[in-house]
Formats: sequence, structure tokens, C-alpha cells
Amino acid sequence: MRAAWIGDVAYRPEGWEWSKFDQDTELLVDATAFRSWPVPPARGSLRWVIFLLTTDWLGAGPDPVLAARSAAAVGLTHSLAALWAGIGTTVNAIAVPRRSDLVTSADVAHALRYFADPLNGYVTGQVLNICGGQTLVAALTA
Amino acid sequence: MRVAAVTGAGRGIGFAIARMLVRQGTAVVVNDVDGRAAHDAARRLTNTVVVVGDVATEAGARAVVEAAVSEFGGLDVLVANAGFGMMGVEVGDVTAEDWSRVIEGNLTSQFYCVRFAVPVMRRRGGGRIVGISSRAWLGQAGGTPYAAAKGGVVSLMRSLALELAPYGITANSVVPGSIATPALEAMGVGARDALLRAHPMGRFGDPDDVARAVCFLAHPAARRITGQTLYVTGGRNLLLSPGRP
Repeated sequence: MRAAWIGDVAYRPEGWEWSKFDQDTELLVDATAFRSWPVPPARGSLRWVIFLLTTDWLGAGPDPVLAARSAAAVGLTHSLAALWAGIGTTVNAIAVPRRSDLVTSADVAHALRYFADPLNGYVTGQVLNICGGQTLVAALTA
Repeated sequence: MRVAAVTGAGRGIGFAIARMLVRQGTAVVVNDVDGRAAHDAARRLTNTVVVVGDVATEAGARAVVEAAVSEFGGLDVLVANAGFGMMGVEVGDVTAEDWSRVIEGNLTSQFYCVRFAVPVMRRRGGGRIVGISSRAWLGQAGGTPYAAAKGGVVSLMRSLALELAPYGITANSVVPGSIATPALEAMGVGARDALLRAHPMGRFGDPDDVARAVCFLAHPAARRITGQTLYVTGGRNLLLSPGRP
């Protein structure tokens, strides 16, 4: 399966072994370098895009720059999902707390496998917060 | 062995959910208010027990949870799916009886099931609750009671997520868009085509798309995913212009 993984390079939690995720990853680029992306992909050439970002996108984090970057990735997720829905590419995002002992790589891998499931083509534009409910008081999470 | 209860499992989305859970090795309580549909569904599956009843009543909801305990020894997963739509009625024409019936059938039923399921899950050390909402919760002209009920489902799940996190119980909503079920097939061709044009993917969803979302959230590995609203809409909820197909 041809696949792409666009990660936010601002977030690299120590000790998380992303390489263990058993998908073929052709690309790992910063969301801010998105202009280098081949837009739009040819129909059927790109199955999915998964943004990996932090729950700082909700704006409650102590780092406004990271919050802005993460929020930009959310905007990209929604916009690209709508743009590319007709060409067989799903675009989703996984948001995790920037610093947390609560969420492990296994928790994230479970979501990655779901969004990357070849059978799972009808979920797009989703921002899934994996945070054990920590962000629920933020209105944007609904 | 994990144990699940799926309400409204006689047909459509509920049946697809029950079938996928069974395929993953889960024992399933198959509930439906339609006895024939429930038994037909169970005959097509293994490792199930049928509970015919209306979960919009306390007795009906209690029977579903009690069957999970008596037949399979407990309950790990509750999928609150039972419900019915009400569209095309302007708010001035919605009677008090309509309002109550739709709220009870789509929201109160989920509350009843949760109320009986939570003590069982707490004794088991955790659990997964998945409430089936609808894209209509974002707002539906001509469907105010249904939209309000399905919005209530999202709020119910978020509240449960906060309340039950200390007990290892997660609660999430799955929001289907237009899914190819008998109800959708019953629409006229013109209305169906107009609805299809509102979908960026150019197709309706399949009941298995919803089932996969439920099984993802119901999985033991989804322990840190709670209070989330997972849209299975083919991107329809992303459109800035809602239209009125």
C-alpha cells in the first residue's frame, strides 16, 4: 500500500517508537512544508494521510506557536479531507497531549491502524484526541 | 471472552455491528424491539443470545444487561444503537407526543442501558460504551426532535467519559452520515440522488463502515480514547454549506 505520513516535527516525544508502526511510510514531512506536497494526488495513488499533532491545537497549551502549528494541521485536515474525498484519499488527524504519561505509543498505534485500514475509507476529516478525556472541557472537541 | 450488548441489532447498522463483534470473537446480546428481526439476526451469527424488548423502557434495558450477565458472565461493551428517525416535520407541527417519543426512543433508551450497564462494568474493572448518534445532531431542518436527541447522545457520552474515566470505562459517540440501509433505500430516487450530491465522496456509507468505527472504539487498546465523537460521514460534516437535500 502506498502511504504517506505527515507528522508535525515539532512534536517528538521521547521514548515513543514510531518506527514500530507496521505501515509503509513513504514520506515524513513537517506540516509547514506542505507546499512541497504533490497536490492533488492522482486518483488512487494515495490512500490516506494522517496528521500527528498535539492537543495544543485547542489553544490551552503553554506554547502559542505550537498551538498555532497544531491548529493549522487541523485546518489542513478538514480542508484536504473535503478536497480529496472524491479521489479516494482520506485525511485524518491524531492529537495527543504534548507531555503525558497517560498516552503511550500503543494507544496511538491503535488509532493509526484504524485510520490506515484499507477497508476504512468512509472516515475522513476526523481529529481524534487521544488524551483520556483531558480535553473534553474544550468546546472545539465536539 | 469479551461480552457485548448491541441494541437495535435486528437489522441495518446494529446488525452489522453485532456481526463484526462476533467475528472478532465477542459474545453478543442481540436486542431488538422486533422479535422476528432479532431472531433472524441471531440465526445468522454464532455466540449470541436474543433479548426482544424496547430499551426505551427501564425493563427492556435492564433485560439486555441482565442477559449479558446471566448468559455470558458480565458485560464489557455496550453499543447503544436502537433508535428511529423523524424527518420532514416542521417544528410547529411537532406534537408533544412526537417530541417525547423521539427523545425516549433515541436518547432515554441509551441512558437506561448505560444506567444498568455501568455497575456491571465497574465490577468487571472497566468497559466500553459506544452511543450511536447521527450527523443530524449538527442541526437538521425538519428534524428538530431527532437532532436534539442525537445531540443529547453526544453530550451523554462526553459526560459519561468524564464521570467514568476513573473506573476504566470509556464512552464515545459514533456519528453515522447517510448509510445504505433499508431506510435509505426506501427514499425516492430523486431524494436519494439529491442526498448523494451532498456527499463529497459521491457515495453513501456502508453499515460495516459504522461497525468498524464501533469496534475500533470498543477494542481494549482504545483505553485512552474517551469522550470522542467519531464521524462516519464520508466527509459530509466538513461542508461549509449545509444545503437541504
